[in-house]
Amino acid sequence: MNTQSNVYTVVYSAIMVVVVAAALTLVSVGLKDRQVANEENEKRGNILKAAGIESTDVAADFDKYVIGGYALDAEGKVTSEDKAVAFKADKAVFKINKDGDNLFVVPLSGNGLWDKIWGFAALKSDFNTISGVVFDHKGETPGLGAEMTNPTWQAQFVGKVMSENGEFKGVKIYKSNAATLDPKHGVDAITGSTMTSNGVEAMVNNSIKFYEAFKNTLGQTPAIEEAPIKESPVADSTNVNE
Amino acid sequence: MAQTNNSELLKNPLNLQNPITVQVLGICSALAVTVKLEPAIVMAISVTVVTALANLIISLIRNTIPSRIRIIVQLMVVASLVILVDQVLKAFMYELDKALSVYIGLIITNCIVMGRLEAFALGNKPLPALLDGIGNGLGYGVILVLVALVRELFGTGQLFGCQVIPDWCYEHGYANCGFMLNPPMALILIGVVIWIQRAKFAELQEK
Repeated sequence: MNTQSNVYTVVYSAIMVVVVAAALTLVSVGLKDRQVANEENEKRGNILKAAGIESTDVAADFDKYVIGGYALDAEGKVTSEDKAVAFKADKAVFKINKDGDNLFVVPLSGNGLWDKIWGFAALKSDFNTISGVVFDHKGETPGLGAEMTNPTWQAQFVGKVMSENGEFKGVKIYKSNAATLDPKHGVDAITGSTMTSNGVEAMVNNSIKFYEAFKNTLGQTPAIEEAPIKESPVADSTNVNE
Repeated sequence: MAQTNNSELLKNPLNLQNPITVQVLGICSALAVTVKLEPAIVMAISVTVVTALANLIISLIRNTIPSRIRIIVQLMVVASLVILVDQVLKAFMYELDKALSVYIGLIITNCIVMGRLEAFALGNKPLPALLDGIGNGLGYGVILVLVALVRELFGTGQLFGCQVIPDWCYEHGYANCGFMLNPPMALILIGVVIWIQRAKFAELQEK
């Protein structure tokens, strides 16, 4: 057969494409369950990590610590109180019992400089003070924006107060000295990553603000809870850094 | 090359025909994934699997490939194998796959793979081609593991994430060399390996 002819070349490439596509589809379908399970375990691990729980057996610890889950619709109304449903939902609240304290973990999502950024924030029982965060990103610049995954940087968010006197303030990014200028809301930006830092600020604020309605259903007003919060960041910062 | 016997096909790339130190191919990934031993080993195995299977497949169909589109055919075989490896890693070694990030995908552009297909698999029978692929993958892997060993040991004092350098060394003033963890150090280490190898084997020295 003439392997140089045009017809042969076209037919050859067509068959090749079909064979390769079929093989890759088979593999992809065959491994899908395992891959999804891995991604879900990573998500469970991140929820626990935001709450300050370092876990080796993620699935078991998730069952142990997460005592409740709420799935929310786009308006912020609770649609389900099933943990499994909440786990699959975009907007959800996970109630965690850690050493007798209740924590609420909410998912965060937003935009960095280049691509999506996401994470989880754990709020104390008042649903108003951050007790820990975990961030991840898809394509921020290594060494600059990608430093948002640095635990030392994330530790700055611990103890930040979201609402004061009923007004949502959230976190605020500062060029420097955030800790002295604005100890309740301020966070130092990542040097050289203004856009990513601003993206994280917007992500944290928008995402947590969404759950204001949910917070009100808990029957707690921020004004009452405010007094003890001021002391707690110092006491709790050690937990989250471990 | 057609005359070389099978055991030489396996052994030559480990030393005198080493893809990294002699042919200086596949350097970029060698610099990127050698900070720690574990990802380096996974990377070495991945590349070995890809070169071996790509060589075998191309050699099996070598007489049917239309020469005008042979590079495309080669690329397609390599690309699908790499996607396959990536999928398997995602399913069974999720954490390591995350650590290796884009570098698994970049095996497609690893010059060693295409180089062996063009230079060897297209003109040889399947068995020698398979051995040549394994040999070159291992030759790449040996250097990777060697460099990663030195970098992890002196950069972090650990091997496979376990502390090996005892505490009393640190108490007596020893410090980890942070520079080891930066990419330039991988380049320097590979340079040192090339230097030692050429000093030992005179036939590698260029006049």
